[in-house]
Amino acid sequence: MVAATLIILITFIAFIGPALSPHAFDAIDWDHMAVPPGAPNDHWLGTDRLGRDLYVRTLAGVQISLQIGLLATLVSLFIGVLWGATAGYVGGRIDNLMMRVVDILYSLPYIFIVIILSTLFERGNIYVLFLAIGAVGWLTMARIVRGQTLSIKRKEFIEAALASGVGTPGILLRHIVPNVVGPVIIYATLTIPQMILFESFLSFLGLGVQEPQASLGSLINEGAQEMESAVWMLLVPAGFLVTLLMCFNFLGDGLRDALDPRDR
Amino acid sequence: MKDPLLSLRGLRVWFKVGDGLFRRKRDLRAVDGVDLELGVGEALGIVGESGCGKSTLARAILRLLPATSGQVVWLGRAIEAESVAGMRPLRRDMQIIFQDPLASLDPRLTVGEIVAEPLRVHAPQMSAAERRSAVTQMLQRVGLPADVINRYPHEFSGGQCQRIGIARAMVLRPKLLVCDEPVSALDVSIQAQIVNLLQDLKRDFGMSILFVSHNLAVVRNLCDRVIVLYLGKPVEIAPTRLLYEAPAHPYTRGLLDAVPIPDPELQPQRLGTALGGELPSPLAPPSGCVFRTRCPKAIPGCARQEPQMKTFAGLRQVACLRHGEDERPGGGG
Repeated sequence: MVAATLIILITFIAFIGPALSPHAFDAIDWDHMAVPPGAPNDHWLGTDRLGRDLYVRTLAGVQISLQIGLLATLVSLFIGVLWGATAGYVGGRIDNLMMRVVDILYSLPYIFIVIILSTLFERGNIYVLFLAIGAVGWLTMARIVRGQTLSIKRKEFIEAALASGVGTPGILLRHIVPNVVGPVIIYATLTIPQMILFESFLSFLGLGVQEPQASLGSLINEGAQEMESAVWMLLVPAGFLVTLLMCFNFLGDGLRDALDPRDR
Repeated sequence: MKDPLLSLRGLRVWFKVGDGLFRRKRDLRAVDGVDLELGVGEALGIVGESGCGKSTLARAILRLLPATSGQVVWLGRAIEAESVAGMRPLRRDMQIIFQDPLASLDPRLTVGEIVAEPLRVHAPQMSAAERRSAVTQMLQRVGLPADVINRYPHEFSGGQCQRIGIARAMVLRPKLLVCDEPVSALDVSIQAQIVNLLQDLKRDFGMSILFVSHNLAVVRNLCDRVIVLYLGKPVEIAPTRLLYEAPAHPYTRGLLDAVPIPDPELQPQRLGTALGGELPSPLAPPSGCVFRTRCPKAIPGCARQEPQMKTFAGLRQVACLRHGEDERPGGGG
């Protein structure tokens, strides 16, 4: 509950907060360069090396990171759950074929795919970024769901549904998917931070979010370079990232308990 | 029997086992040639040891497993090759209850949703309110209060879960109820309640029952006729009373002798006649009579010739070469 509230709060601040500050995320304040937080000016969390307001930039970064994390996770959830459940439930040759596709995609170096995608499209287009990240992220999800499905499809309640005449789509959507939700939710909440980190990594390589836009990853990267002289540039975005990731992890546990009728 | 509800003709269910690169696939003969007829409103018991193919037979009848060869004839129509879509309308009339009551209920659905599922498939024209009232009625009929519909299966005991399973199976008023060891996972006192409930339902709705069990006492109470399976083959079919009073096949005799008698004076004397040995592997069944390896009456001829079902005393059938050799007809070994 606390975790969920905190995530909602951070999201809220991330979207409303920048409007409260007089500064824009890419405006350079020539009078206040690399000012620490708490200095007598209206840069509440200080400025970076170029004099841009760190508070506004961090919140803009949270916005982008959250969007990428959530959307990429949703993409991977959707494809992964359907793919894995179908492969596991149908079984046989179709299962083999579907899982070999997963194996092949696994073995492709996804960094190259992302590089190719980002050269084909406009650089720094974050939608291409989700697409690329989501397309890689569903593979593990599909494997997890397939494994769960294999164990569930042997249960008698599936046989009972078959005996009642429920068709394959009905069994998949009504009986199998709800029963794999537990592990899927946990993995999904672990995926969101992974996606956020992956995005930061791409930004670091110059493939992700482009200057002057900011994501948490690129801010941390910048901050790390100034760590010895201006530690706040690292601490402010890192603090947000750590809080977010922890919240998502707690949320995962909470959701699993809430969604399982057996634990009520 | 005139116009049986269901008849099986030479039904075989074999499984391919062994998937090794260098090993040949072999056939596991789970059900190996069963001929059987089930009358309307009749309760037929299927008994035998673990692994003799009882449950496989039950599932093959419902087409939950494919038949390898032979026919399943339902109301005069062969259904063993029917497609999934072709089977769907037929499933309305054939339902099943399972051995493990809790495992047979989806833990994510409420009891109301579980019992309503067959209605959603077979009576989609029903409104939500109609469905709800049909569900509540059936739940009350099986002895559960109406307010259970919003609760989840894990909140109930084994006996209650089995009642929910029965309600799900009976909500469409099927013509055939297959019971796959429905009481073997329950306490003895609950077993009696469930058997009584099945008897009441049979009286009220007039459905036929196929009752798979290794519990001979339960079968005796509920069933009109009994078929005894050994290694996938029927060895004896007889009306219940006659089978229990005078088993014709040595295997039936062995099974009956293995039922413990709650009398410390009598019980030790009977231990000597209990069946020895293990069930042979259905991958490599013995030649001739499959039971000969454990049969107290086996003679060398049993290894050469496979016994066929023969009818005697009008309504009994037995598959034993030595039947009727040296004893009164109908009298067991």
